[in-house]
Amino acid sequence: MRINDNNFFDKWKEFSIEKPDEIILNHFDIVRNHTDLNGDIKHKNSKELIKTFSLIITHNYGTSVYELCNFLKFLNNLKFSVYHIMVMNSKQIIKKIRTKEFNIKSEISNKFLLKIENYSFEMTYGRIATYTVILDFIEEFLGLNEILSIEEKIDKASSHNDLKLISNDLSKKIYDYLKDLLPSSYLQSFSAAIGNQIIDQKKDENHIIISDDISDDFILNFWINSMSLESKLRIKTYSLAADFCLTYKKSIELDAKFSFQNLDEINGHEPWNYLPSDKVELFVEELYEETENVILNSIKYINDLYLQKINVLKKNEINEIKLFSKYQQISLKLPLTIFRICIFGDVQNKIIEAQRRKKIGLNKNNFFESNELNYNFKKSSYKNLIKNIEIIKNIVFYKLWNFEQKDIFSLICNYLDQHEINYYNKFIDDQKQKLNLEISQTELDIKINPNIEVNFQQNLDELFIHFKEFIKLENEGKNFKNFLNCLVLFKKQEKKFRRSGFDFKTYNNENLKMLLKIYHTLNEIMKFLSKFLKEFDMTIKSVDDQFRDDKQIFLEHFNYLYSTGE
Amino acid sequence: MNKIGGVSNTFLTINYLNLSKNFSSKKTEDKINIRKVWDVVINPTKYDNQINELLKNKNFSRVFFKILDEEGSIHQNNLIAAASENVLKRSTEEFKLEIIPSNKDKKIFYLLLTILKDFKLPLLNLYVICNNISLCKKIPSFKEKQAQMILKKDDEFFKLITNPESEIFIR
Repeated sequence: MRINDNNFFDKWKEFSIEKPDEIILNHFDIVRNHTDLNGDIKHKNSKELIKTFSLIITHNYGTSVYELCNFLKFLNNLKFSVYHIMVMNSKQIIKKIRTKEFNIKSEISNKFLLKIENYSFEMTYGRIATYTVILDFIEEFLGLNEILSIEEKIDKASSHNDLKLISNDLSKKIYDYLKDLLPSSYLQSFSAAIGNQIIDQKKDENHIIISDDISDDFILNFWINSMSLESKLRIKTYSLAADFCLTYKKSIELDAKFSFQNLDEINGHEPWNYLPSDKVELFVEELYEETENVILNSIKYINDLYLQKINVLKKNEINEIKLFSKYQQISLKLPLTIFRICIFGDVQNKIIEAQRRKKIGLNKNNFFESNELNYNFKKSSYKNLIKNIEIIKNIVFYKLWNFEQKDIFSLICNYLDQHEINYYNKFIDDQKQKLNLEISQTELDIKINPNIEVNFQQNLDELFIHFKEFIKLENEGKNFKNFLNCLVLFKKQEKKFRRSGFDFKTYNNENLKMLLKIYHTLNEIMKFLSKFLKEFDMTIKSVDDQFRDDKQIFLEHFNYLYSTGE
Repeated sequence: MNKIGGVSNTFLTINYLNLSKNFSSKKTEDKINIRKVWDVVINPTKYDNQINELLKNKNFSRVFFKILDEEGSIHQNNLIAAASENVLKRSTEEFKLEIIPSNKDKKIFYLLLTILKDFKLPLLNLYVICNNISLCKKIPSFKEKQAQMILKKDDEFFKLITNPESEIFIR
């Protein structure tokens, strides 16, 4: 198998004495639980912690270590000892530096500057959180002795070159430590198995692996083949096999996107700068898909509300969509695999449970029949969820409407028909003239005319009331008949809707903000689910036929897996 | 590492990140680190039984005394123009230390520690460090700024505290 003209396994270690999976995760867990001197969790920003951990396990720490050395020299110049810094959280450090900087410069800036001889290096306060995490990982990997050594070297450093040498030496030590832990033989064997199957299927050893190689059928075959007697790697559950394949697919896409040409300037061809510094941040972000995907955050937000006993969605509804927060965008590319995980993964879990309870003698077909498990049923379940979310959105809109605030303007158009939109636009034009504002139709992007600034906020606050009066007056409401009917319907839906913690009757800023966020979050989930179903329909021509064929394959394989030794 | 392992490394990374979300380390933190040193500095009584063992670790001891030095403890450097014989009296602006032999038993000595200034923090331990060897002794409660301890001539602590090369910390 070849990727970018080289054998993908060239540099892999096939054997490992210890269990690296746990060692590296232990390190992570210990740093995650670090506390400051008050006993509070030190790295409160978990995103920063995980991002830095990603930099480390992908060998992309060179630039950050270099920055850290500059930061430590800056602290050294201010006579701040590393021993103090290491028991402070980033906010405490920032406060300490800002105070010192303000005393020297009498100005507040979001940046600070290290100067040694003719060399200067600018850093932002926002990066300090990363430096503290890296420093903790260094102590965790290399021990207290290394911290003592860094402190001494930084103290003696008197030039840019000295800092570069310290940084390179440190990166090398981290690399030497990590190269025995990463990659782990356990995980790499799965990676190798997937890669080998792609090559086997393509019957071309020089095939350059692409994302499309991982298809719905590939995943199913990979699972079946992995359980064959010849296979050294046995993956018993379909969900796990699919999980590995989907992760592999995402890895291929990320690798294709971030394959680099020029190595980082600071450390030349050193192995601890796998990607150039300008790509690292984007790469790390995309590992979580945060830049291009909101579904993870949306599901997380609704789940967090549920944990706070604000039940916007029911527990079973949240469970139904949790799968998407794991696979996110990749779900849209292989919707059939997601359906297979839902249906057959579920059945397999039930079989395993039955086996555990020694009730495996039952016909495995019963697991489908008794639970009405099939693709059409799953589709209807998603469709019902979309309908429910639509109703909850309506209720949220109605609650917001009753708050009579200008913030709702951006949502009103979603409930107007074309005829009403024309009248709505007329209202906006009138208001523009009246208030001398520049207002875009959709976002209500309002720019203040300095001549009327005094009355502006008041007029703006009254905009909603004016609109309400406008609707009422417009042909005594007839020109907004559809919208008014919507409001009547939403009112009814609101009255019927009973859910713990979901009240929001009182107007206050907190409720307003929360309702707006819930509205947009539900909208994202709804859009995602609709798109997912659309992709599924486009992929699968006949849902019943597909399910019948799949069921036969899975039943056959379940019988093979669970018939012996019952 | 170079680009050839790109896909597999990304694959491993994503798996590690997924695993790390719910991973809880079974291993308790037994390594000596900065936070542990600070904990000993701040909560000396918690480590009464371990302090001498901890001070045997050179890295621990280096950081520990560095922090003590910066954190307003009472400190006296090794004596200038060190004498070759044991030193039984030492004094600074902050404290006076006197070691007196017992009249009854020549192997027993009394250490009299007198504090000459007021300190906000409680003074709980007497640390002695010399040539990377450090030891600690718990100070009994002060009466009129004076505390008394019994030392045995054969004890390492006696040898260390009477060594003119030793540094002394009180905290």
